[in-house]
Amino acid sequence: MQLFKLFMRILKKKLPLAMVYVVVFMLLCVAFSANGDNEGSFEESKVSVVITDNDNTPESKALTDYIASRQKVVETKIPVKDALFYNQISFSLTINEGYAHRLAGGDTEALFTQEYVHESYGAAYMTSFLDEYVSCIRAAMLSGEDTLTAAGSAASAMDTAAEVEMLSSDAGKLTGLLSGHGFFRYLPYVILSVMMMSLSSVLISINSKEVRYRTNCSSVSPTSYVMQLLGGSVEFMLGVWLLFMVLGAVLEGGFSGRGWLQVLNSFVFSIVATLIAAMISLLLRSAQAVTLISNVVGLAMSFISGVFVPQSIMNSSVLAVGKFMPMYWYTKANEMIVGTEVYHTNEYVQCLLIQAGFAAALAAVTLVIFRLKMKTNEN
Amino acid sequence: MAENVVKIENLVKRYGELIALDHLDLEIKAGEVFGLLGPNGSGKTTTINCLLSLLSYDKGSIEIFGKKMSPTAYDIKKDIGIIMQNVAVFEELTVQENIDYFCGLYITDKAKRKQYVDEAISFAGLEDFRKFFPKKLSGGLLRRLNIACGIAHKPRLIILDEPTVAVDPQSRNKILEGIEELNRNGATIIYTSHYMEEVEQICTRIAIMDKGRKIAEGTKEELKTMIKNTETITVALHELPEKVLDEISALSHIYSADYTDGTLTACCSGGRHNLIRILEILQKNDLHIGKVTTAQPTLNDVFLEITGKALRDKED
Repeated sequence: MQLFKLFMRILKKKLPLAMVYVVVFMLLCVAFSANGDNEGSFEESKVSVVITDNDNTPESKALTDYIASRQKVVETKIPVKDALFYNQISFSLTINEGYAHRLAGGDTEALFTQEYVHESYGAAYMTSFLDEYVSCIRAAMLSGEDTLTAAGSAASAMDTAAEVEMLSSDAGKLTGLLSGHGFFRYLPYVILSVMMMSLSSVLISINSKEVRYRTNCSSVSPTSYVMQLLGGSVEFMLGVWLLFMVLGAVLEGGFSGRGWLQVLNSFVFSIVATLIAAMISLLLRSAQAVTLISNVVGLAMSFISGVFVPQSIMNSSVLAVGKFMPMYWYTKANEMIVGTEVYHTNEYVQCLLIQAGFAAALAAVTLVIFRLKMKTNEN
Repeated sequence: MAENVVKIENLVKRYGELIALDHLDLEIKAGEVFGLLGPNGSGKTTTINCLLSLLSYDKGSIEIFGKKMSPTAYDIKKDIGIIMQNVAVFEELTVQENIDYFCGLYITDKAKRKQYVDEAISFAGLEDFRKFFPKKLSGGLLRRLNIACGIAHKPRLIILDEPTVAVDPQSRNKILEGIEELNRNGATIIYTSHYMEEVEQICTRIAIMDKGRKIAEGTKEELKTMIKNTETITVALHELPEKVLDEISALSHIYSADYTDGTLTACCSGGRHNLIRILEILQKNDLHIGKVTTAQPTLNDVFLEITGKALRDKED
């Protein structure tokens, strides 16, 4: 077990740098969680409106009251133009004198004077709102109602709103970590970085030509050598994965429902990340190069695989390249689980199997490189 | 007669067309400090790698401690210590941790290992540096750590592959003294070096290799008898007439005489009283004699004459 102990001893020296990634990631997750509490609910936004009623009739009063019930009516002590400029209000509405009279006569021209910031969202919304209100009154009046009754009918008709449901909350089935699913979305990048920063460095150190020569001369068999390093790597992988799962559970209040599918998905990816780190350790000669390579590989793979940008909005040719990365299949499975894409159990299992396939291929390549390196050193 | 610790018979190793070891035979007895000399590419390191079963070979056999050596002969390997030219330690471990790790590859008993590690630290003179990381050690201390890592498990056979390259004279002396002490404690040593004076100082028997073959073997005295030169005499003179030089050249056992830059150099091959006979000739001709020296051939002279080339600083 001497090599295994050595593995752990060197790992202890390499861990602090890798832990920086963990700490930064956890801090970001705490921030995401704090901001993500409202993600499961929907609230209609209101436009800040200043109303000046120059008509002072029951009809103009009815309009003012209705706007107040739907939007945010405010008063301003500074001139309206300044209030618009400083974004204190979004819209200024003046109900012109003769509003009720014109409406009763079927004249919908010059009912209001409006001031707003050109092409602003609030202005577009209020203009449309007023047009709809006037149209509804006209429709009610055509059916025989008087102006005041028609104003009430218009308000009732416009109060009918579409019911909004947040799909990602999946009717309460997905809770905890999934409510702000940044944790599992960014997790592969962090796991891969931590693995490369620590595991690759440890393996480079242990497998350096000089010390391996000395180890090869000892009474440690090659099988025992590989098994002890494998044991160390697996233990470290499990440790890192469990650490993230525990931290995640503490942060968001545990797993439930499909959350366990994400746990499984992250476990399979952790195996892949471990093998990537092991392979890189055999390709690099110096531990100093690990930081650079881990940043390049981790970031490139994450960008191409859709870790930072949802796959649904990524360019198809980039995604075609991404399919050759295990991280792509992790992300695809994750997006299905959180509801960004439609969930199918078959496709989820397929994503896991493809990742497992990558793991098998990486293991084979790593062993081949290891044997080739041994052979090269022999000659 | 001492038992054979190493017995190599008819060893052949090829790299494609190149023959790295050409029917090599070697026997190393218990308690010897055996020097392996040879120019670059002569096959010294290949021999050691074959000996350790790190390299496969095409023909021949290797026995260590009377048993056939193979990659899985772990009972043999546990009694071998290896110290290479390049320092092989972990930067992440302290001096004590490094020695403990390498010792632990052979010794599993904790108490015994602790004792061995302490002894190795003491042997290498690293008591004050136990908690130091290798980066903080000087070149000489690093070499001593390298040696401590190789001998901590108390091997019966120690292979040192140029352990003093790029080491300051003080550390070199300390290392050589250490090797002699290991030998006194019962270890058999195989020592390769480019430094002739080191080999001459510590080796009890020497083999000279060239082009994968052993071209000479014996004690340093035996090796010196293999070459023509037995004595080189130099005499400082203000002048040396041609006829006097011819007279000296004509003496029996003088096979070469030369006068250059005020110094007469005469090379002798056997014979007795060569110096007296030369001085008599010089006195008879009223020549003023300055500094007179006489030197026995060195291992370097043996090496140069046998291989026809000088040793270089780099290993094959």
